[in-house]
Amino acid sequence: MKQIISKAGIVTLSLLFMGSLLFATTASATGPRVTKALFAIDKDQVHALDFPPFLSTEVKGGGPFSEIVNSALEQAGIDAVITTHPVRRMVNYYLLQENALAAMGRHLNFSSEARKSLTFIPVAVMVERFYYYKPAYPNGLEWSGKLASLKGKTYGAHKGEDIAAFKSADIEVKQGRTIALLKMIAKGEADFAAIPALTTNWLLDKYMASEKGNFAAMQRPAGTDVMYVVFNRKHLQGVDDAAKFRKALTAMVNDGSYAAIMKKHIGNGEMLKLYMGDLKGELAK
Amino acid sequence: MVMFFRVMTGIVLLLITGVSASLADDEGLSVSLDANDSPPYWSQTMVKDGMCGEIVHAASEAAGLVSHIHYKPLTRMIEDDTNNDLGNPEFYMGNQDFAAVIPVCVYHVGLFYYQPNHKNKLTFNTVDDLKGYKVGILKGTLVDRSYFERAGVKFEESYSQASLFKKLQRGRIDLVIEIDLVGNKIIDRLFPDSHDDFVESIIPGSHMPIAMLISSGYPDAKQIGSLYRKGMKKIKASGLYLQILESYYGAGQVPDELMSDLERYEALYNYEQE
Repeated sequence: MKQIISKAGIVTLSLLFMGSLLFATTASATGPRVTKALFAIDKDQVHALDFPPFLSTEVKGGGPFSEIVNSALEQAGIDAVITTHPVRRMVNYYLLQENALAAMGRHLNFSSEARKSLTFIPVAVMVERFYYYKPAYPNGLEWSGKLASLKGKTYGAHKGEDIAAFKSADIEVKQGRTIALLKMIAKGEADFAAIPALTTNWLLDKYMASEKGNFAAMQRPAGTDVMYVVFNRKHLQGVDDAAKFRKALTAMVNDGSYAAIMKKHIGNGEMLKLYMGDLKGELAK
Repeated sequence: MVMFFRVMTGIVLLLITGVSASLADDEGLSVSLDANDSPPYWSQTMVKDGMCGEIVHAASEAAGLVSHIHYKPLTRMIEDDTNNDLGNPEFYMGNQDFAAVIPVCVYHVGLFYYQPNHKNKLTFNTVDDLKGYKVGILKGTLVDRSYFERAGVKFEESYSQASLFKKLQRGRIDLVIEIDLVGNKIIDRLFPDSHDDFVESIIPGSHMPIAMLISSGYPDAKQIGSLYRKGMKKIKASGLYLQILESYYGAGQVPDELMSDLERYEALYNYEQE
């Protein structure tokens, strides 16, 4: 009897069937997101700005900063969970309007009035690079270490980022979230933005894979940026928990467990040095 | 000749008002919104697009808007960073900026179990209460896997919600985590004669928002967002909003905390927007 479907056909159909199963999962996923926060009504909350791959529910174990903060919270005896949000104003709302225990992020830019009731504890010091779009600058784009060398260009700043130095160097500034900045750069609406290398790679892989090869980093680092956990002194436990957390985190830096978590996530290569800045110094300030 | 000028005038007016994406029709400003078919919240086969669809259409009518809901796979909605979305904002805000996020409802997450398979009533307050049970979830919805593993919770994942509830009834799993109305609708469909044997326990504090998200690049996005907010306010004041909810939950069955949760999300998504 003649075989109606060839072996290759059977393989193709099998692959299509497997693919349809995978597609169906993502295409009609209307189930609830099963997160730690779903069972956390009795726990305090640390509201954080999503910052892949360092701090995100989309990364295994939540990422290195999530694991470090969770360990420090545990060692300090603080029963709290980290909940991540896509935009800064959501983090600010929970911290300032609902008096959550703490927030976590960078470029949080609170008003001077709000800062009076907040305690900032640094949890990471990172090197950032200026990223630009190669098709817009086929011969490359570099800076001398002085922003004046980028005069006339447009800088893509994170919302809440300090932009005074760019303004005074006659650099136009447009604002957005990291993913929006990368899209602005690809569209020619901004020329460059300061982003950690791992974050750039992660976001381009996930949302702009076809454009990844068109982005490049300037040779000279853009500078360092600090990630903070910000405790709310208006919360009943805010003052005590801030002190306990600082002590636990300092112990983790001193006993090497902080570095061990970073190595586990990032590896022991050159990349690690970019995200292991002088935290001891920041904590001592 | 008169007809030619009318047609040309119409085309010019359309171009001037910039309505390539938001066509004005006879009834009001027309807005295109994308949803993922997820009955009874959004459904292309239910009357007026399901419960949240009804709310959107009622708020639109109250505000002089006409909403057109188009059904698409969730992944396409997430990848598209120019469209207007309907659903849980958490899914869409990672890859897209929105000029307005207007909550229309709140859903809660329930733990379902099949009473004939258990001697006593089960209660759940913390993650520790899940230990020792086999918990059924929809594949792709588990986020903090390592946390639950450390807590000793065992999950069984399925590709369809119906299969989870069939396994639950047969005793192959002990619990199903599912959105409250979705779970009840599936039980109604699969086990119409034994609905009362299924017990639902709402997870405290498990509220999640369902919203209209107007893309920042959409024509007149801020104005449209403002009109939707006005429409929501009107239908809540008139009682129509509660009437729609009760037609799905049953009279007097709308969760007590739904309205206060909704107000909280309205404040959250409107924060620093003004």
